Amino acid sequence: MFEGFTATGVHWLDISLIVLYLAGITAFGFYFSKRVKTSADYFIAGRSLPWWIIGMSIIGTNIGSNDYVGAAGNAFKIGIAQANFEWIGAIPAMILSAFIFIPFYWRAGVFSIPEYLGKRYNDAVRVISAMVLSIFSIIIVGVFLWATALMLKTYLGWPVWFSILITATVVGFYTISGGLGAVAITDSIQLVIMFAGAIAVAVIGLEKVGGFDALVSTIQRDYPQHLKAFLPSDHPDFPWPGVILGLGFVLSPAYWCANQAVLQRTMAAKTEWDGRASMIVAAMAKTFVPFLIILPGFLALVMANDKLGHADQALPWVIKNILPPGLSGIMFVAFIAALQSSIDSTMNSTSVMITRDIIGVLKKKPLDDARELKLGKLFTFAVLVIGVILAPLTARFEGIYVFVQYTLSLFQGPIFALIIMGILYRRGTPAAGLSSLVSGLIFAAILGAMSLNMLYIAFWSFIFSLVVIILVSRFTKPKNDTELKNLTYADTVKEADHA
Amino acid sequence: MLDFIHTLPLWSAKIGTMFLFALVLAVVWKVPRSFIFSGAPDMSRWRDLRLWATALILVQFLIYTIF
Repeated sequence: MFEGFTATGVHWLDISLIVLYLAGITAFGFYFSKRVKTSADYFIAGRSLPWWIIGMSIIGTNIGSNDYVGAAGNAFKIGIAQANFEWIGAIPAMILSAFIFIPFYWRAGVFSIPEYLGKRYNDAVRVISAMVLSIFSIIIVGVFLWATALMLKTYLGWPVWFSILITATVVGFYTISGGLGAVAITDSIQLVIMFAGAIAVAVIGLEKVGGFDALVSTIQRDYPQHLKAFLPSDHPDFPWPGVILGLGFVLSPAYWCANQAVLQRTMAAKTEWDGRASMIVAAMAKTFVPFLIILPGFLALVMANDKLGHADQALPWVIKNILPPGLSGIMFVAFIAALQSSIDSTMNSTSVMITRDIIGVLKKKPLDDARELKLGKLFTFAVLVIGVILAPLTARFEGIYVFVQYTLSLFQGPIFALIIMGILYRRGTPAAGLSSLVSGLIFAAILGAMSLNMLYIAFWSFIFSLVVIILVSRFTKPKNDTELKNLTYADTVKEADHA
Repeated sequence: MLDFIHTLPLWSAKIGTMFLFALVLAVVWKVPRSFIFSGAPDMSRWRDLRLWATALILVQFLIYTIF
């Protein structure tokens, strides 16, 4: 169909685009590294980021290439109901995060969620929560590296190890040298690339099927259920009660109000208002994400329903058969960008937790700024190296994404309970926080051992931890007004009201 | 414990979703104006994030009305 393909079946124009992108991102990291002078520059970009950069960076971090492939595949299979992950499964929690949670992280002047928990409860809560979140994040870096390598192998024919090393080198370079500032700005560039790729698919794809109206008419005629936002309550994968209760009320708030990799950049906002506004902007972008990543699933449904062996082939089919050389290169760069923006954020957020919330607290003498910066860079590198080593192990797990979601469900409930009660329940005591965290994690592990569905593990461990905080707080000593300044909702809003 | 939910008709999903968004909207407007503008360089109307959130929620209402 097109001339100029290499031996691996990829057009030279596409390869040029990919190489140009990798070189550009590396050069940018080098440029940004000159701005990093202190640990605050490194971990929270010197609190200098404006709302629009943070908003774009949040969405860049949130979208992984799995979302691209998986969402298009699910749209092919179940239709618009897939978009609930972006709408009911994100927007309410993002708004609450902007109005209730982000202001407290920002006012507390913290670098991480565990640091907020340390101020609100005590150092033991800070260290334990940081350890749990760091272990999980390191595993995630390995998974992301593996996913990127598989993609490079599939599309370019590069060996897996070579692909892992290339990705690790590029991402490692700008993340280690430039810190969160470089991560946030590259995330924003990566988001633009992702949207450009998705818009290219939408425009060219719609032209091929005869326009938007023709696409909708065909789906309405042949697959009417695909245009319904909710599926019946006995649907095996996405029953509507599970979507609203599990996703809308527990998992989504736990992610958007308590995920370190996502929220760290709001702590880097130049003002409290910028921090809040960034999450609303991210929610606005999130609203339109389904139209860009689900549309390819619909295009494949209309154009190639009988040609696909598996739903996840929907997007690759569209890229291969619809996009001309150059544009398919942009789409492929968008894939890499989606993964890189998730890897860099996870590396930086893990480093801040290890440096400040674990080493910084356990060390008897406080770290000076130069040492903290040095350690931050060292641990970012260490997280990357461990991620590279763990990456091939990912292949040994069948259904790695399910494994990741399952692991998340083991600690998301207890940690989210600590945060929500920390902000909204003024009476919550340090002893209650610690006992809730430890018993909640044990309770979740017991539920896991009983092979309970992960959605229920998250839900019940959350409820259990809430109850423990309330009960233990009745018998233990709370913090005084001075210690709770800028940490709880009631006091802060009252203060703002009187101002 | 929540088995009765499975007996509800499919349209209750839309009602539940609208209710959740309405609840969030109510929470947003309960937050005092002074708290919303905290840290903002000025008090221009466009910086009132409650308006941003309201517009966003109205879009959600529209989406769930259509689908």
